[in-house]
Amino acid sequence: MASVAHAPEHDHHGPPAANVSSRVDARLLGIYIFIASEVMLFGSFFTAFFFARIIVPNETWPPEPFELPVYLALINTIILVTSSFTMHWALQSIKRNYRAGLIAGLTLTFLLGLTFLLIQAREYTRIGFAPKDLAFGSSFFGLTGLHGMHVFVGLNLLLYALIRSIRGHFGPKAHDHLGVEIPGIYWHFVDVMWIIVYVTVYVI
Amino acid sequence: MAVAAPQTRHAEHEGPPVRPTGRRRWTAGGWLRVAWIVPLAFLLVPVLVLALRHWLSYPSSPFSVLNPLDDSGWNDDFWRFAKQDLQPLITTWTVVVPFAFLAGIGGFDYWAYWISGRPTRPEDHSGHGARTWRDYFRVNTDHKVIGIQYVVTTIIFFIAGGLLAMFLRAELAKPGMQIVDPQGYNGLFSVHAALMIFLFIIPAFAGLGNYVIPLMIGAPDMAFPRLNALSFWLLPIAGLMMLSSYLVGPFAAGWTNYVPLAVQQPEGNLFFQMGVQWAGASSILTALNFLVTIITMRAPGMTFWRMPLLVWANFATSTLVVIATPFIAGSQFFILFDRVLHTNFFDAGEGGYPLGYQHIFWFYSHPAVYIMMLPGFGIVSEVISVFARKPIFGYRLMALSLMAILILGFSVWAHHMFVSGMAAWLRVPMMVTTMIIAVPTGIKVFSWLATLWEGRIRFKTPMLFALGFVSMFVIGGLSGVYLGSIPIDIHTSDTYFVVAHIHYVLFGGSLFTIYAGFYYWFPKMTGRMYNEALGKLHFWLTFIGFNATFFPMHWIGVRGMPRRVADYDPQFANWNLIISIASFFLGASTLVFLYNMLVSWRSGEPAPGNPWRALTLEWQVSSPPPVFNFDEIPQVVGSPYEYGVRGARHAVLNGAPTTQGREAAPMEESVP
Amino acid sequence: MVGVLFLAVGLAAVLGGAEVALGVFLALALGVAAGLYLKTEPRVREPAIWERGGGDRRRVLVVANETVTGAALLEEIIRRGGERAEVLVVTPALNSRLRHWTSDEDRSRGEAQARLDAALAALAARGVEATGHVGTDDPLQAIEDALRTFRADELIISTHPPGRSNWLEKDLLRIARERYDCPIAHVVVDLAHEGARFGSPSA
Repeated sequence: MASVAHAPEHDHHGPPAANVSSRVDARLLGIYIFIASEVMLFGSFFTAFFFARIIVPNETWPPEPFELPVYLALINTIILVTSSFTMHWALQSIKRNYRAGLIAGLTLTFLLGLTFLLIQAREYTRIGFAPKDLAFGSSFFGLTGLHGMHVFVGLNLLLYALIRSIRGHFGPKAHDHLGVEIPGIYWHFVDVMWIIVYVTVYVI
Repeated sequence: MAVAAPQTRHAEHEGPPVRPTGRRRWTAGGWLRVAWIVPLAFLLVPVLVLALRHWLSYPSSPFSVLNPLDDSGWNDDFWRFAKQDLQPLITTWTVVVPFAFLAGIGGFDYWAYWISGRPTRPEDHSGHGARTWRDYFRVNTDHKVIGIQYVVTTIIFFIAGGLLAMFLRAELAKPGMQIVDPQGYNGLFSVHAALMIFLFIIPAFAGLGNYVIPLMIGAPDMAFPRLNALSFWLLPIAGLMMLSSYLVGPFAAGWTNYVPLAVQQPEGNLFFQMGVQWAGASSILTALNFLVTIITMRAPGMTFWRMPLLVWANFATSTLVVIATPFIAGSQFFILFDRVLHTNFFDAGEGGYPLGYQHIFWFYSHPAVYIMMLPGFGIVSEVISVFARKPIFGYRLMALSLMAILILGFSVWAHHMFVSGMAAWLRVPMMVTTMIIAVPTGIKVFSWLATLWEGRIRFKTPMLFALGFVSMFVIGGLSGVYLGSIPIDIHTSDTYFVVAHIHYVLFGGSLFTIYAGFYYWFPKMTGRMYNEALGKLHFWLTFIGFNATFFPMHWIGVRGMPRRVADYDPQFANWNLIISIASFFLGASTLVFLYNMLVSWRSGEPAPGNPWRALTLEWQVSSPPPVFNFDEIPQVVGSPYEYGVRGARHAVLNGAPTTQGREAAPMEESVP
Repeated sequence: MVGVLFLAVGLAAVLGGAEVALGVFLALALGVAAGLYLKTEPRVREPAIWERGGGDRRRVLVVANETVTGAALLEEIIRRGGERAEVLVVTPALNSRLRHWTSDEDRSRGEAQARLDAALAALAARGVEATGHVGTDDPLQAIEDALRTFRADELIISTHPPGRSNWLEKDLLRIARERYDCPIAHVVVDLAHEGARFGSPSA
């Protein structure tokens, strides 16, 4: 083994290829771990909601005179879940080298997501209460607002993926469409999280 | 997306990166770009925020008028106007200016390029490695450079936090107020703790891990080098943000920032809330990187059960960081919303639940103390094994105990809340889990002792700190067991007994292991040996000063001296004076360390590749290592701790087995 | 498919109200998700290809623990290797489960080393040049470790007879044959019949 005191200046080559010690792709593992931390962030907001809803005694929920638009939010839920299916379709398409399906799927997903967000924004203005109206308002806007921000981030990722799809940057091999797969995983997380938010905030 | 596919070797010769000239110097990522982007952002924020607020006739914050600074000098209408906007301004500044800085220095360059839709530029490694000192001041993808950046940055904040401690000990030396007023005193201990926790202990371990882990597992770098670089640059942002609170009056509700005080305090509190977010982001991204690297980039033959314990420790720590840190982010967000958006998360009159803050906060902050200790456990395992020249006793159980601490660490948070007025039924279960978590920790302590038993011990500086750690941590752990018992905690909560416990586990615990790690890997990182005599001097001065400062605190705490008070009953005067003098002595001992580090780095004796004759992979390359760590990935064929075991090898590197160094130690029967 | 989903949920909403619609929707979504998951193909693990040989001498890797001193194994090594073969004998240090997890391997290593020394001596007496080392307690891992530095042309794995062999119960041979594409011979050594000095029926 070399026992030299200085680093040899061998920059004539790049790094040796690292050994792959897991069957899981590093970048997919990365996004899953990131999503785990995001789930925990939602967890802290759910905890605050739990305190306001369960721990603090409330005569009714929502407290008088506020109401929640349960049916409209259900429509929104359906829209968002459908967008997850179109996202899956997009990913399956590029795996089969079917570019038209990829672009169509991403476009649909983006539009559905945008619709969701716009409906949410519109409801915010018409819902009849503000974040400063009791802990109810605070925790409601906290949870849905946090989710809305994640939808916004997800829409951005979808947009970049869409632009690159149109330019033909993706292919059927596993490492050629990570730019679709990773935004897809993020989008599914956003969708599943909405279902949990919806059921927690609007339904029960 | 975030990392290039594994590189094959390039035939072309790569020289140092070409630096841009002319106008491009101002638009290329770096400090020149920072020099105009940050002031621009800084000036744009008030323009936008004030314009929006006054256009929308936004009501002013009711909290500002409670500020004691509201007297003289602020009567002027203009200033009153401006002051009401101070809170939203600070909030927006603390979000926008860091992004501007990161954009300026080039942290987002690759992703911005990707977002623009152009084909990604293939990685040419020009941003990798350090040839001159300048390379340490830019966005660098080399984990070794990033590790050193972390270490140096954290030492700077350690000094800052230490100076704050000196100030507060100066105030406490005598009863009565001599130097600061009570609010100022509260600021001293709050900023001291925040800096030490978020800007020193947690990132120092991250930095050491960053440097060592890829080498230890036989990888050419981390899984996500660009993300790694970004994670580092988030750190000085967080630290400067917390120090910036002094511009408007330091945050002063303790590093724990309980509500309702945190919501009522002046604007300086915002710098803590936002600083924690930036430090938390840095921490989470680094942990993500560690996890993916450890899982996917180990050398061939390095199964999980052949990883060195430092790698296991960082694996457990990183899991803790990823799961727990978002909770402190959430807790500070809620305070921020209550202050700036007038929400009612913690306003009991409006249906909020103030105690909820403590639950959410401690759900992170208890795992945080394990985040601050587990990597230290890993370092101590490495150091003790090497300097006793014995395999670690019970390696598998050591690894499993790390995982046990990880899991159990989530079940004990409310032991910080025994006297908070929380639901009484929760206290006993929390006490039980707190007692249980002492078991895996005890396994580790006994394991270290068994490793030392009949070992051939070399008392070099890293070993002195490791041994000092074991004894000091046992004391701190014992006071922790006392505090975990509800009746004792009721008596000693919020007294100096807790301060003693904290410092025994954080200073005698974490800091001793950080020192051990710094000394142990100093030759590898700098290519030079530190001065051993000065190292030993540093250890003894620190050990004596530390015990003289913090041991008496157990006594005065039990006698009833509260913590976080600027003034105290004269019965405690003598001990406080002694403690303060001891603390100045302790502070001075740090100078020995700094001198040693600086002078040795410049002109210490050149270090061989393996001065400690260790088996782990980082010692099988030169000091400092080649820019891409290895010419060829090593093949691991055995455990990393087989000192003195006949015929045992850890790995095969470039065709030659890694052995225990050229000099044969008497205990070995044969050198393979 | 999307249209059908909407229709189903809309119908449920009209008939039963929001909660029913949500329930129907979740059920459908879970069903579709489960269906998609079940359709994905399982990943096939490709066998590792180890660099073989090179050089004029045949390289034989022998893996045995308690049976390493068995006469049947000795004969097999000599038969396959011949006099010009380079033989590496690896004795995985068999350990009980408790000792495995408490990392208590001194005794098992010592015993494996003693057996190895005896086997090497026996081979040397028959004119076969053999080296060896004690391997880790998992035989598959021990094989992998040895193959990293010893480019074997073939493997000989020796076990106790079926019914008394831990390794055979763990399906060691089949897994090794899947993983390594060099020829693997299996030698059964019945120490009780041979009356060997070392070893006992495996735990």
